Amino acid sequence: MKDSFNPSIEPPKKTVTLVSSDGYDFEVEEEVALESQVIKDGFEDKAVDDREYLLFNVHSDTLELIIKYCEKHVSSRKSISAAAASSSSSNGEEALKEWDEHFISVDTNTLYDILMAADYLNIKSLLDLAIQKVADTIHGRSPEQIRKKFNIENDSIIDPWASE
Amino acid sequence: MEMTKGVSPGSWSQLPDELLSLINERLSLLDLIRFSCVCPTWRSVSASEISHRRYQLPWLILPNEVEPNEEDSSSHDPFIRFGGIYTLISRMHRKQDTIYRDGLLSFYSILESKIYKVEMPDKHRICGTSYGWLITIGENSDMRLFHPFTGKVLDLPPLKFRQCLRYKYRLGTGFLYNATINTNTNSRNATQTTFVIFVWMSVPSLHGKILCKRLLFTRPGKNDSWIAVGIECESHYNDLLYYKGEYYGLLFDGEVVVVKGLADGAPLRTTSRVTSSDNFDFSSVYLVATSLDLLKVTRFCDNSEATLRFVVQKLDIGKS
Repeated sequence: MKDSFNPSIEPPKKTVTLVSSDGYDFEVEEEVALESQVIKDGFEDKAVDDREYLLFNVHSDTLELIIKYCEKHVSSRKSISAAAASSSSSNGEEALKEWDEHFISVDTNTLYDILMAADYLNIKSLLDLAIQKVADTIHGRSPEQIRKKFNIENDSIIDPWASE
Repeated sequence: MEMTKGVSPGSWSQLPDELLSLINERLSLLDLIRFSCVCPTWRSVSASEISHRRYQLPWLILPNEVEPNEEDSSSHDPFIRFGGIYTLISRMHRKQDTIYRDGLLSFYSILESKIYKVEMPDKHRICGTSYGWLITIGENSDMRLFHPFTGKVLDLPPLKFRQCLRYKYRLGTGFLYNATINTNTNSRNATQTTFVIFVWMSVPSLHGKILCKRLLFTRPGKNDSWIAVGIECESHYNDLLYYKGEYYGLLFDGEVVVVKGLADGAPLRTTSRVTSSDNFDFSSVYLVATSLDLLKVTRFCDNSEATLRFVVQKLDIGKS
């Protein structure tokens, strides 16, 4: 399995502090922070009282969204595996997918922030989600419509196909 | 000082290459081509993905209307390569006017079993395809390059030769056999981008006798007319191809020639032979470029146009 999280061992709630680029502290549960592969790598080597991460590339607005996403995924995984353990039927996967879809339905500026943060923090499932959203947004649109949607200027000076 | 968020105009165009590549992987070929037209950064990233995918099945250009009573439709080679991306279905010039309908050009994707329709600026006849561009000709011999996905149009010099062309176009018999484009896109700097466009035409007289057969080329922005290569009334050309910096022509009798000396503003109208000619008992012959070799593919048919076999020859282009 891709996640090392094991719900049967409940560790005492530990927290880490994430500091956004604009200087806000976010105290989150350890398991939520560990959704980020970057934080996970070398996490054990860090002293317990030194678990503070300065995220220079992530603005507080974005970090709030990222934490929301990670918390949702941690809790969903718990309930999904709990349902599997008790062999009761669950539509948890389906519900999570729906939640993801709703979560990523944002304007392109916010999508950009989420994409860059997911890449920076190396949260694979979120990166996948954001990349797919970009691809879906491009789908069926003309180059001009894509430029408009993503606020890209057409720099025709270096456009080899320009007819001018 | 208040911290601002990172998104400013142009941020998306400066997305890191690896993220753009991830997006590329999830796009269909059509979306990918549109993606590549958005801005230079996006284009440079998508170029490799597109060239990787161009080896998938080509698209076919569909005639919108099939006229069952039209004679001898089976006797012509129906396909012209279109930059590996799509393929033109008809060299039958009398069929060309049926390709457009309601100003739309239809492409058929075999893999997706899907028809894509693209707007055409006007009813120009398509006479060749290369690198995603269509080379088109109007009733007054005015020629254009048209890119069906970006909508870009580039005017070319009119192709008039002793005033015969316009006349023959109306008659609807073939005079323009093939056209091919080379674009030097190694550089992202547009000033260094050059097109070289070749056309092969054959001008019949009023009574059907061939007056003139010529290979011509032009470079938009450099030449304001078409420049003839070689002497008049040499052999027919069957195919034209740009491969590793050289321009190759395939003569009707199977002979492959190289056209040299276009680069320095002083066009040299000579051809040099690459292979010796074959005998005539084949049906069609093509030039095919792979990443490693230049191939000559000869197709042999029986009397009912059924393919008997192909012969593939690797051309030794080292010596010319």
